[in-house]
Amino acid sequence: MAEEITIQVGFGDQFHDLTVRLQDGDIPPWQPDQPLDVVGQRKPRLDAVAKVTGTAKFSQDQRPDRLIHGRILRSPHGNAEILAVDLTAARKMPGVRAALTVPDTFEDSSARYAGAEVAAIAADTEQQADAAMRAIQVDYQLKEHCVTIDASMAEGAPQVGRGDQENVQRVSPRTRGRRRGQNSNPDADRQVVEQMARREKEVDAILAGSDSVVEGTFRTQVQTHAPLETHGAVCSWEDGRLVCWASTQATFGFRGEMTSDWGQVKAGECRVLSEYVGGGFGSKFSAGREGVIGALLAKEAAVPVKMMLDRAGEQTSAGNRPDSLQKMRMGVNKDGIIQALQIRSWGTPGSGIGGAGAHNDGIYKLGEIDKVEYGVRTNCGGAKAHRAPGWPQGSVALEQMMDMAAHSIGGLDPIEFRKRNDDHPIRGAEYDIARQRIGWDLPRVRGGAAPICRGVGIASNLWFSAGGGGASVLVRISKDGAVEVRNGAQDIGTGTRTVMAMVAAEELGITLEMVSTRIGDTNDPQGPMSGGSTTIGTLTPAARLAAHHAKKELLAVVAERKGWDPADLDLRKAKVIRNDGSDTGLSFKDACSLMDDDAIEVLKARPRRNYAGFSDTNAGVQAAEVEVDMETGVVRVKKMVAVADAGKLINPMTAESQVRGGVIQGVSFALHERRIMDRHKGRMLNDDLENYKILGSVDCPEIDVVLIDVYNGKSNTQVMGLGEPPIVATAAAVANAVADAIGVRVFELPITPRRVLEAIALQETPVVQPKKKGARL
Amino acid sequence: MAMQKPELLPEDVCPCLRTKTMVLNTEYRRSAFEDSFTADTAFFHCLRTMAYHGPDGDDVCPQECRPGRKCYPKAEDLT
Repeated sequence: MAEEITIQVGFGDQFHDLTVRLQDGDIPPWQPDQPLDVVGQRKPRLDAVAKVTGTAKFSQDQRPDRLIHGRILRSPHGNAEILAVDLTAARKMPGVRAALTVPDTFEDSSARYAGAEVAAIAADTEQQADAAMRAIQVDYQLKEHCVTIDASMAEGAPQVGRGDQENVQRVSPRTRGRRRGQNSNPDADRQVVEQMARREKEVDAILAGSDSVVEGTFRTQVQTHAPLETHGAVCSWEDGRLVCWASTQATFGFRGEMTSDWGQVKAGECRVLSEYVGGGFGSKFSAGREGVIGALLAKEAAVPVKMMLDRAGEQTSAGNRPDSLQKMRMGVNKDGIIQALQIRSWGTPGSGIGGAGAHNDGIYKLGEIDKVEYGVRTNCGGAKAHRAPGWPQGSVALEQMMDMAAHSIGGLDPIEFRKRNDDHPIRGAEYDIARQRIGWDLPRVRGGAAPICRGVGIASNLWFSAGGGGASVLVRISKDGAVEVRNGAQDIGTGTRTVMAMVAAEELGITLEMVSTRIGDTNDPQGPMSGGSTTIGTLTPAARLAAHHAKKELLAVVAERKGWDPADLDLRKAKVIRNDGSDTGLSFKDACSLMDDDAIEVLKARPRRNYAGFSDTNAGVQAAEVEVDMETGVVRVKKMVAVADAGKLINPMTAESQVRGGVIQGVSFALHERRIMDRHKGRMLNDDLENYKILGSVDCPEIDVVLIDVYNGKSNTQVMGLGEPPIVATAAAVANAVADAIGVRVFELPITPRRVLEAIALQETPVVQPKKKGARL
Repeated sequence: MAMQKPELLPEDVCPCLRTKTMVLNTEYRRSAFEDSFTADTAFFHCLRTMAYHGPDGDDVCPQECRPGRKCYPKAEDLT
């Protein structure tokens, strides 16, 4: 039964009372005046030394006995049908233990992009596997291909997909109606189309009545995930049970695909181990073809198989952020209030159309919105969820429109303009911090007035997640005083291992060093996937609740053995204390030694979340300062200020690390990263980390992270997600800063020297565009 | 032999359909999954092809992966 309590929520000097419902036996959130010894402290990761010294074993590092090596043969053609795959010669090659074809295994003979899987081999050595790959005979029927959004959208473009799939297809608004099966509604889409037409007319009218209308066309590029550890797994069958050391963002999801009756592996039992994961960024939720191939090859070979992608396979086939083409019109009144926004966007998520959208509505009050999005099929490797899916590309367009709109009404300050159209309680304070920390009002040589110019830009972000139920954490206190926290979820770099231990240490009144964490093993309690920035918000409330009950059990043992009142006891600074703060003289370790049993074990599920809270969303503001060489076009980001909030900060050091990672990936998106396709051969030209440019340490700006501690009341630890939001605003802030520096806007990412010079030379895209009324996108 | 279908999937959506929100395991998993039907950033894949298209080559999504599609499982395979 839910218990209602009144707590304090807020941040800084803005607190107020809030009544929340504690569900599932939950305990109250920490309060602003509550002394905390571990939570809120800057603590290095528990696995920091293991990671930097190489003793941490990633999936890539696993070497079970008799391990052999898997390889995937990929199509070299931009678009083809696989007519036949002959493995006869390859199977006879030295060391070959297993082989499969994609048409037979995955019921798919379409190789829709250069890099599509065709066959796979497992051999004793990597060299033998490579040699056997060359012996595979494949008969292809070649088809015409399109590898760019423009080529695919052009009239008369070759068909990318199969059957009646059109190259361009609307993805939003989209009907929920079923086109097949029970209760199907063939008219559902027609109704959507009619609604779209009405909406367009309404917003056209509002735009026509606005004091100023700005418009722009923006492009962002395909960004690959490029994790240090590629996708894949080491797979082993042990007495009929499958064991996978997987590089995954969802240990339990990976297991689910391997054991499903509907999948290709159908393992009766499967254990997934992911003690360390070398990055994911949203692309590692599924086992993928590589995971299935690894399991099937290991089954045939009857020895463990290492099936990790090589870098080319990773870059072409393991996922990416779709590119975007976004056309926008924004109407604004003289008082700086946005009236309406019209958006038409296209994105290319590969040969499918899912995931093509760009998010840009949700941060600001944008008035009436008319938004239509299309997916554009290309013969390229498929997109996958990528750190804040849809948001960075949407933000690049919207935030530049915000600046353009501010300029169009008499040069209103861009921060002031945002404040007038933003009522988030936290972001309001964050704008002022960003303004001060970036030196927004300092004099600069800007607007292209000198060979070297500087400019500043601003953009905002948000996120939603406070975590949720469905996960359990086990806390074990042993008789020798050892404390262990266990959960089967993975840590993709968020610091989960460390933060769970900190929460347990806080609740148990002991130091962090006295706690160890076991994660990344599906034999341990159910844990969440690391997606939607939910992991720590999901796990820490369960860890705290389990530690709380373990503490109660330990204190009950102490009270019984000492004849004390258990209600008068607590744990603090590794000692048993009384409620008045006095020391009982008994250390935590001594208390543990009083147990009759070897250990106290408490397993607690994550209580359902409090739906009430200080704010349903995180905020966040980022500001960039750039320096642009007007003669070479080179842009250097000198400084990024990232003001971020994520509920209650458990470990400011790991939180700060998350923000830094987002900013680095965002600056890299703004200036460097892009998939380059050969339009003639249909192949990715930069499918390695030498030619796929990622921001390096020399190019990395000063990153000034400001974290806001928010008591939001949404769970007993009050943690909100932080993995994704820090990348949302970065590229947009950089783009606005570049426009401020050079006096002309670069509408396409990455902002390369060539594009900067073209923009300067042509001056064809002024920052303030003439008011146009009635134009259609 | 009849095979078990994930409880989250609507009655006549193909049991081979998968998407990220299906492994959320939270109390709002169902609503998140249903929201993904019309979401502009959702990806759906097929367990049989492990791709965004099904064995028949057409797109994988809750609107399409329904009875009447030639790769839809036979009635006797469904519990």
